[in-house]
Amino acid sequence: MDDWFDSPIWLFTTQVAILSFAAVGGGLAMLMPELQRFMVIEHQWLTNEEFIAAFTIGQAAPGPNFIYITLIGWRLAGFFGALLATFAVLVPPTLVVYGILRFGESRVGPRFQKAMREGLAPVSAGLMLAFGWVLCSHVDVNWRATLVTAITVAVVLRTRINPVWLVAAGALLGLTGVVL
Amino acid sequence: MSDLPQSSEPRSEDAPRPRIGPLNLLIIFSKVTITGFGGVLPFAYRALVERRKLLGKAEFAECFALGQILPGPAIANFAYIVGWRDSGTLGAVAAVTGIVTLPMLLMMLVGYFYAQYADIEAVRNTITGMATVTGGLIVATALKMSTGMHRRWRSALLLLAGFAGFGLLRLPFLAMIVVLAPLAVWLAWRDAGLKVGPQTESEKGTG
Repeated sequence: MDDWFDSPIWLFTTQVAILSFAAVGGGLAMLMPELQRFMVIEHQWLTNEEFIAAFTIGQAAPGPNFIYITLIGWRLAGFFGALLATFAVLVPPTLVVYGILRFGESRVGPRFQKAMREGLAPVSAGLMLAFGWVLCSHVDVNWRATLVTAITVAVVLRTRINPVWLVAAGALLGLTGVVL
Repeated sequence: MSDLPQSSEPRSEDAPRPRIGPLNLLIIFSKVTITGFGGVLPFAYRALVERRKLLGKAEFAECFALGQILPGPAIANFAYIVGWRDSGTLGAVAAVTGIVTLPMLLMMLVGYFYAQYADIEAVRNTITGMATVTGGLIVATALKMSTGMHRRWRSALLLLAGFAGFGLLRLPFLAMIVVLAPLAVWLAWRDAGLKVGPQTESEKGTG
């Protein structure tokens, strides 16, 4: 049993379960720098390239943006790991949400909801900017990659194009060696 | 999908709405999530509000706002709340199961094949190219979030603290949240009180 509690998938699962509670006002994509440090630097279960790849694939795939955590679970322990990681994201916060819906949705009054929304907005934005910063520091290894990132930012802010087309264009640029 | 409740003309917001039911919640959210490239929310809005008219605009916004302030992934919370309001616990579980199951199976499939092809140069290059764009998508989202809130000194300081602590100093996420979130909510709570006046109902939260 001691082996189990020292196993990567168990440590990863508990880490995700704890962090999932804390991901208020944003998404679990935002936890990427934290999980990167945990997986790559602290424990060295994945190389940095493997981690960034898992994150990128998860973001490009359809579905919720926390699904990269499922893929990392798979990398650590196959089918069981993927299942466990997904449950770790969903179940702990869901118990809190269930409690609120069941016993007190009406008690979370409008003033508190407003305070949560308005108070958390700048905090989430700051953490999200930090997350973008950390991610870009890993992927923008030369000026061409930096340029692609910058163009992406401009296109997203100026047009209403579905991001999936931009990711597809990025895949093409990677395949043809433009950003390498 | 002829078995799903549909109406040809827009219903008024307060008209009684037919129950969706757990099975339909499972089907609808599965469809929404697997077509949800680049963010599930717009697809959920189209399916639930515009096409099937199962939720009013205001109700959709309310469910999402609540999902966002509760702990955990916002989109799963949203599904949970919609399902809960429609069919209780079973509806909530059905909606969340719908949101997560197909993408999870897809990731297992990807994980299986990725392990075999990860060393191929072309695969690695393709993913590197996708990653540079993903970086841009995240930064753009962050910039949208930054410009979409109240412009005031306090917001700017909180934003800066979050960015500097988490991004530059690489402080632990938990520490950042535990310090900044209650502080920010408390300040906004105080403001809300100044504008709305004291409220009598008990307003304990989860913060």
